[in-house]
Amino acid sequence: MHHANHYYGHSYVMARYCGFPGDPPRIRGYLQHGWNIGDGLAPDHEYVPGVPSFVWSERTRRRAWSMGRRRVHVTGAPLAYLLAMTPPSPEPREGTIWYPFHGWEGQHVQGDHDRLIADIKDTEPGPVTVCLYWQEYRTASVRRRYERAGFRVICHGYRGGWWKDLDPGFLDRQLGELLRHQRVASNRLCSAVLYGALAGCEPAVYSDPMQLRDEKDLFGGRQRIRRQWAALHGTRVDPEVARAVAVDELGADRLLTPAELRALFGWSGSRTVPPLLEPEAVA
Amino acid sequence: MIPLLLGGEMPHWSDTDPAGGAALATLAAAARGHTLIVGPHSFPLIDAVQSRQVTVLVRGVPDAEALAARYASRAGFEVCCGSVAKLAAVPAYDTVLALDGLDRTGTTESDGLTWADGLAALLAVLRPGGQLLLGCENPAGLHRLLALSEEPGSGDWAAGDRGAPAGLPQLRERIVGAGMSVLRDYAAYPSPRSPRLLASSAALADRSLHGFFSGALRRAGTPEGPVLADPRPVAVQMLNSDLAADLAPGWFVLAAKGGQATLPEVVLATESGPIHHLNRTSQGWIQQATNPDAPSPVPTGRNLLDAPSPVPIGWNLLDALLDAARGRDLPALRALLTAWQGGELAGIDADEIVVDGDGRLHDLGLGESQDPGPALRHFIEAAPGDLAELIEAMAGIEAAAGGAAIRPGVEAFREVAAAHDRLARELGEARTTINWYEERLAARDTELARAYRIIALLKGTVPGRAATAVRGALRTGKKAARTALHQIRKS
Repeated sequence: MHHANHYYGHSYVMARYCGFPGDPPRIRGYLQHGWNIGDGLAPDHEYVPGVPSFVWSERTRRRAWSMGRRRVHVTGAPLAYLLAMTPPSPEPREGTIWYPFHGWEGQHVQGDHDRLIADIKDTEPGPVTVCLYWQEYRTASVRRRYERAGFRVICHGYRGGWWKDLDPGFLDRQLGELLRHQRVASNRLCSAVLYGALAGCEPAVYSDPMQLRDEKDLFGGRQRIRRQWAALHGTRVDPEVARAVAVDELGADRLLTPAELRALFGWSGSRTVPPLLEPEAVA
Repeated sequence: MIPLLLGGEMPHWSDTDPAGGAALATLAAAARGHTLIVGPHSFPLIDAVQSRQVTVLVRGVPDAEALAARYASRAGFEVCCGSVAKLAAVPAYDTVLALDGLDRTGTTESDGLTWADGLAALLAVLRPGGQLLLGCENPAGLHRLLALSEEPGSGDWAAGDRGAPAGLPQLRERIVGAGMSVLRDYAAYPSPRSPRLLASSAALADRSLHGFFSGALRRAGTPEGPVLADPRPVAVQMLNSDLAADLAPGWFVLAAKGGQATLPEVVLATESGPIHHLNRTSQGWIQQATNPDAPSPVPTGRNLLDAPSPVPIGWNLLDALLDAARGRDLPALRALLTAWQGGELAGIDADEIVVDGDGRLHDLGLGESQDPGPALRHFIEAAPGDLAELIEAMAGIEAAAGGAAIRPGVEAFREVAAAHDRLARELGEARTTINWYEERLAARDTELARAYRIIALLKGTVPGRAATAVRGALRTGKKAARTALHQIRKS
């Protein structure tokens, strides 16, 4: 139903978990696609009364309810499902995967990349993989700056637009990278850090958090994140505490069965998988 | 002043309908030393706390900011924001005031904060010798029993806490189990957050006060909004059934490690303004009225309340009148009405009067005096409808204009249903009456037709014809005589 359900290949992961091998059936509701400290919806996605929300954690459900949202269900994050479907890797972990804070489509980050690089070099003991968002990755000057620092620079891909250029393998690639690394780090607490903590990485959040141009601190913003999840900030973080937080925030202890998810998503009657329609095709 | 964020605060949240009202202000005024106020409390209630050092903890950031703005210039005032679970467990306070209860002290950010957790958090910050003033909503209170079905609100993000006290005895046990003594307990009416009547369970159990409480429960008013039934007569029935404490909308306790309570046993905030305090003495129950705006007792315009006075013991006059009216005991009804409307208390509503064992009437002083007409009207509206005119005749006065619009007085479905039943009965009676008249009319018609038939038959007989001829001759002779008389007069 909602284009954001397909971001990062989330709908594909959920469909696979529910036994739909191809394109996902239409999710009858809105699936949270990134960690946040509000009601689980992205700031640019208005709540529509009557449309169910599928959020990652019980805390998010409580917040959403307190904000007048109804028909809110805790499903857990798609990455938690993907991890549950992924057999343990025999490969040894090495180094750090580092996610510099990024803007999303149309947003611009203001900050000192050189200072960030220096902090990473001072802190990380092993090889570093820097994962850039597709915008920064395509910006040669930014990408080369990290490459010149001696880091391996990667991009998980494009998260997908309005039902266009979808990337069913995005989350698989991200989890694959996380499972290869010993540590995960960023200059802001974000989905990727929590994903890494859940996937067994030692997380860290440090250095200049940078900021978006005209950034608005919703729901208490950065200050609240630093206070409420203080245990995840710093160059060295207790991995057990971090894992417990990740389990909590990603709802990894609240995963639903395929039958339950099919019922919630309105997939129970889906015998055949309808193809995803491009906007042009709809028109 | 900038609120101190403890953690778990809710940036978007504001609690509505905070604890408040003049009755609770009596409890708030008992705070001493460094006082911690936990949960949403109205500004006037916070104003009633006279302590020099006051800390308020609320969970919503907008509420904390409003408090900080309001008390920016009050020295020794601090505002905290967050979950009660984030309070540092340091015994820093002489009084902890949580009159709104513990239900609204947790936040969306805290996972499964139970009532017991909340109590433990409050007790952990009390200094040795400190006191706790705690409110607790009764999940089976009268306000809930008579409430309409409602969708859960935005504050109901979690299921109810089954571990919360389910009764006043349980509440006392939980406090005592935590090492405190309950110095005073109160049942609260008509709402748990803004009660007008606070009565200790011991006072409610004292039958000699039932005349007072019957009036006080009615005078305590009704909760706002639609209800299934007018709670006032139900509350009086609960009082008579010794259930008034068990089914009260809320309870309040004053707890400490030891010592004695200085709070009155009963607090009643009347609609007209004065606050009534009742205390037990060696001479019996004594009441004292004070004005909430003035710390010392003030005249209320009714002499008996200018100074502490004994609480009248006996039966509430309204109950006595209603019993007599419903039992159609007209001599008793006449005697009561004559004593009431023929005496000095004719302008006092019947539920503000107590009848003692000798039949003397005593003013409880719960409301303003008025003309006798409205007072009588109020009784007539509570009495069986068919007695209205008789009651006026017995009282010897005309009741003030009233009407069905006043009844049921609150948006109460039970009373609406009763009105519906009454109208249906009256309509049935009217239809029966019409049918009866129609039957009578039909019977008369039948009788008339029969009479006409007899007359026609009689006209056909020989005597009948003769009589008709005689009558015709008489008519002809009468006519001829008139004509002759007329001619003579003309000539």
